[in-house]
Amino acid sequence: MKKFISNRYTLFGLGILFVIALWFLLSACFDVNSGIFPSPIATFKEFGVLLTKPYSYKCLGYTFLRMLIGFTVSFIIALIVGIFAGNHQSLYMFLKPLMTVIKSVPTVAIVFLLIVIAKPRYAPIFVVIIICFPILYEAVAGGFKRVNNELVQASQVDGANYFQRVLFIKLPLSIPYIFVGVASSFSLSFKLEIMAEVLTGYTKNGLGSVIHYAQQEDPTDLTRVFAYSLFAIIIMLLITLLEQVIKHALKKKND
Amino acid sequence: MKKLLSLIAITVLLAGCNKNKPSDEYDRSTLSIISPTGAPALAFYNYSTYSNFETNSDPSTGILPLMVTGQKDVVVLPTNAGMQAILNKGANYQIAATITFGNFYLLSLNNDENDALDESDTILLFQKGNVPDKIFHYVYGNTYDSNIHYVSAVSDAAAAANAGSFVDADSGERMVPNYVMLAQPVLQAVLGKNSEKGYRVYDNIQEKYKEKSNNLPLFQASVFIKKTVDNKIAKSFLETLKSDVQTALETPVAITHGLRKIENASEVYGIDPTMAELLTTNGNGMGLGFEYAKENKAAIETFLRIFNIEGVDEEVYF
Repeated sequence: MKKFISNRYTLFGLGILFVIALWFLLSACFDVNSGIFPSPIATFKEFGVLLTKPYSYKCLGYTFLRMLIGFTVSFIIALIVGIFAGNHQSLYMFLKPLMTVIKSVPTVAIVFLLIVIAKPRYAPIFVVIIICFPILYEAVAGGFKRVNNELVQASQVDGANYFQRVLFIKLPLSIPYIFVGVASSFSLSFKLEIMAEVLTGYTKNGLGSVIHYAQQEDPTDLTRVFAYSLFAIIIMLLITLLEQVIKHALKKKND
Repeated sequence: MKKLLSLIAITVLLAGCNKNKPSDEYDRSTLSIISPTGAPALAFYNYSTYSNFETNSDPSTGILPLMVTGQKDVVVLPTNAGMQAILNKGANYQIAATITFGNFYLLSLNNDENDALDESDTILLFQKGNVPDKIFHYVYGNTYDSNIHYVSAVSDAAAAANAGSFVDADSGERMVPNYVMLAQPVLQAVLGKNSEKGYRVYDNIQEKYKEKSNNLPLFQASVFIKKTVDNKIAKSFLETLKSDVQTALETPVAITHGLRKIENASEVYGIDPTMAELLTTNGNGMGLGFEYAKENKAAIETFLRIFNIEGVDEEVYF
């Protein structure tokens, strides 16, 4: 019994049940006019309806694709810049003000700027790139800086050149840190993508667009808004689960 | 070899012929167009499948900056907003035509004892200082100001009408409105949802506006064309648009046919296709129409005066 309860997947499942119970409670407290804070039952019913509509999958697909493009571009840039900054303290210090600025600028200001520069259609992709970049960069640079210097020096004695040290010593040892950065910014990027789609007002194919329309169509009934949000939540739960599996596998490999 | 050479010659000749095709020929994919969702977008019901046509649900953040920076050939905006972009921000556009002639209504919540709008009634408007607010004050004056309250968007006004109450932004107090200003298609949804409560349209604000301005219609949303667009193409585009609008007014089912070509019409146009057809059939509730700007300067300038825009140069008109 104790083993069953302490099993990570059982705990994950219990966590989901807790969220649903909390949702029931909050809905019962705040749903003064039916639909303002829809219950899980009403939301899952609407979710069932949306599941039968191909357009829902199209929206989910487009949002996920745009997010993936933004995230991949951000990761590639962060990896390149982070590797150099992690190896050279002077570059790290030089980039620090820029990273602080990017991290501090309100996201909404970035969205408004990108609407003009990149047009509403592409603005969400750039939002993901810009917001995720400092997180990923810090993960890469931080990971490189934490590598045991003795190991690097030993490889240098053994004749490893600069690129060999970076690629075969530092990068593999930094992976756990990079993985943490990737995991935390990946779920953030999905939320950012949806929020940016709403803020840009773009109306074609996207979870943000349909959520915005559902809210505008009837602001007193948010059941459809919740149901569309459920798509994003389920995707993120699956990704979290996948993340757990990968982490577990990595740990096993290291042991 | 000879065959190959003649084939190349024919290809080159055909390509040359294609180049000689008049460049001023307009088809629906020629110009990049952006319109706000809702009433103005309906005029473009035949553009649903074209990638050069897009809509935006937030004209002030999603369309106006694109007009100021000249990123679209054709921009649809509230007439006052577009004119201000031209006059104050130097947007390189001209006003060409108006396609929305008002879709504002005053809804009675059937809770006014004397059933007549007066100073003691609580009135709820939306978008303080913007088109709906200005139009309301132009039509009714300042008589009711002491009991006028505001919410930010028409969707919030609809929420208040549905709930029968709203929270006043200034005092934080929950209040019961007697009259709520709404725009179509939101009005129709509110009426449908509250049929048993006796909600009814108290005033058609477009009609009131006409009475007040010597029978001049409310030139609400207009088409602005970038100055760099070829004159012949622009004219051809406007003729096509005029013809599309006339067809829609004569046979509103054309709107449904046009919109239904895409699966996400409701999101793209901001209105359900069936609802759009229904509203157009019943007294043109969305205010759809087409009038050239140059031929209606008096009406446009009357509308602009509400926003303190005066002395518009001739060259602003296409």
